[in-house]
Amino acid sequence: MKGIVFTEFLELVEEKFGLAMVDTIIESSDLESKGVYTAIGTYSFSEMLALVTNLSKNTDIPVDQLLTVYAEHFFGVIEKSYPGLLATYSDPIEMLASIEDHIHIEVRKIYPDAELPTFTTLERTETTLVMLYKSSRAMYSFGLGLMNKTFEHFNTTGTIVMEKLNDAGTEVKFSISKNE
Amino acid sequence: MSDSEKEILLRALAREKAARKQSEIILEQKSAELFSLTRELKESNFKLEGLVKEQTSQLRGVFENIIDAYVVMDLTGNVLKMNDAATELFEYDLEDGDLNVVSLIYREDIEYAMTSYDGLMKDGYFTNYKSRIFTKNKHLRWVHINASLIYDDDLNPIAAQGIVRDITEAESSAALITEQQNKLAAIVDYSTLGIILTQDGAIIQTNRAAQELMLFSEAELLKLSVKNISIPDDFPASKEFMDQMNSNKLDHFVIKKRYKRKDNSHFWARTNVAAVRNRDGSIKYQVALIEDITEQLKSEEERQKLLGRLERSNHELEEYAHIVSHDLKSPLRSIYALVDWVTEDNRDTFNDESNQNMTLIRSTLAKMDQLISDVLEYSSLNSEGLSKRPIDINELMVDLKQHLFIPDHISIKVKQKLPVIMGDEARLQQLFQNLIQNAIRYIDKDEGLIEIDVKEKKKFYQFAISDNGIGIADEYHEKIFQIFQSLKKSKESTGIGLSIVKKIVNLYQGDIWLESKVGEGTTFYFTLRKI
Repeated sequence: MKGIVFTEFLELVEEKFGLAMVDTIIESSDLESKGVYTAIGTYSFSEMLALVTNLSKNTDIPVDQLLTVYAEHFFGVIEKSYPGLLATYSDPIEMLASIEDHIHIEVRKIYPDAELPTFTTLERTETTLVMLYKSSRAMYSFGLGLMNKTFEHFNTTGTIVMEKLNDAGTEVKFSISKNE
Repeated sequence: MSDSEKEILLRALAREKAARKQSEIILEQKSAELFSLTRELKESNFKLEGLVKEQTSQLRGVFENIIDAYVVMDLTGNVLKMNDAATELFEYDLEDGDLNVVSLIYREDIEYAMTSYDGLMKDGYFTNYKSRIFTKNKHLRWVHINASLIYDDDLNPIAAQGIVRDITEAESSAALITEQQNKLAAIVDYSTLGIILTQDGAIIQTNRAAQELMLFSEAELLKLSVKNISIPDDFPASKEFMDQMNSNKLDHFVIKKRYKRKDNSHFWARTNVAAVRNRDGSIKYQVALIEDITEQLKSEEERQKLLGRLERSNHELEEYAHIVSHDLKSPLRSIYALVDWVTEDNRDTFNDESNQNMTLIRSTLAKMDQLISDVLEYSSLNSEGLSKRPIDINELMVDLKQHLFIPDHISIKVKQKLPVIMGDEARLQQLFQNLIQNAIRYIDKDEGLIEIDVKEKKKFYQFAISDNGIGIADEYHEKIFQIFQSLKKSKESTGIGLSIVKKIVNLYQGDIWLESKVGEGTTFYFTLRKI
């Protein structure tokens, strides 16, 4: 997993819960990196998992919620750093439908070794979209956060329903619809 | 600040430092990667540029150096690019202005050109396009074109290119060849000689005359071999020639042989066989020219028969002449002898008149004898049995002067050296003798002069025998050569002398004529063929 995910995460934790919390979750996770992250580095996904889990333990906030909040924060990073990527879209449904064929491809151009989930479009209309999320990392909540922010980016709102297709959450169905 | 706070900060600081160091390391790595990538890229670019330059130069080389014209045009026919060969072929220079290929097409070929263009647009290419073009200077040329479309990145056709080959020579050669073949076919087919082409004895082509001779059709003859139309008895002779031909000892022979027609009748023919050889000397074909000599043989036979008859006839005539002259002369001799005796016995009793008469009888008898000899002479004069030896006329003249009776008042002068004539001594002697005797006979002057002269011409000698005698009037010039005609009915002339002279001259393919002035003299001219 790219370092930027870790650095932004820890910054957000520091902002919301303080430096001590950062210290705590780092010290309590058995991290190979010892908590040393640079945005341009690459680190094991299990470290993220450990950090998020320990944060959840220390804040009593469920992991899913933490991830969604983080994702909503992370969207801002994307907006700031890669405005061009978002500018090609005029509609949230259009953008969400192109995650697989366009956005992730552009992401790989910048970060060739990025680990990304796969999205398969099951249904699509002008205002609705049904996609299948697949990833061994099961970070569907993170995806939800990004999707929420997408609607906000286009000054609209949407309704997103997630359906876990297995317990691990490695396959999740997203049913998205734009609110008129 | 509490200890734990301090420691937290310290730990955070340490992590920051470490993170920064990590960043630096990663950045250095990335930098190095970038550097080597850049260098690789530069190298690749350099190589690529080199390759492109090379390709471009190769292409230009091809473009400029191919012998054929190379043209690139847009899809409406405007020429975008063409090489020197094209400039030469079309006699247009792009520097002088734009050129559209449609303006080059020969009027009659426009439809063909348009059809081909459609094919080009549809299939993307065409090959073996052949038509005529008119160059700028109105020269007609035949061209052969292979063309293909040029596409852009999206595979849309944007131009067309073609290689144009000038085949004017080839086309005219082809036309010439066809013309020559036609002429040849005409010659062969209309020849009156039968022509048969064979290969290993099998007939592979015949002309009209051959078919008519053999009474077979063209198709029938093609199924036959030479043996089928020949006679077995003639095989050995043919075979010998054929063997020699096959072993390269001869290329051509003539043979007389018989052929068998479709109706099994035979005819004789003169056959002229020639071998057409391959480069290695083996026989490719044989050409036989067949001439029906049936008629010829017949006339030949008849001629032989006639000749035979003629010979026999001549022979018989000679014998007859000899016998007759002998039989005629015999009684003459008897009469001569008897007259002699009577004269002798009655020399004293006869009077002058009677004695004169007896003398007259004797001279008349002599004349008759001479006449008979002359007639025999005349009739036996022919080219058969004439010998042909070099005769020196000078010597002949010396001989003649000796044994001819020349009166004292007459002199014979040979004006220059006389030539050598190929001929029969006796005949030539007779010729000169008769003329000189005539000259002597007709000289009426006190001083007689006979001159003998010669002039050398290209193919014969022209002799002249002149005298200063009584001369011969113009109206008699023809007559005197006819037998039994003479000017003076003198006792010595038999009237045959000049006829004999004419005949001898004719035998030597010469002519005889005269110039004369009555009272002054005569010159006889005659020509004898040179050796």
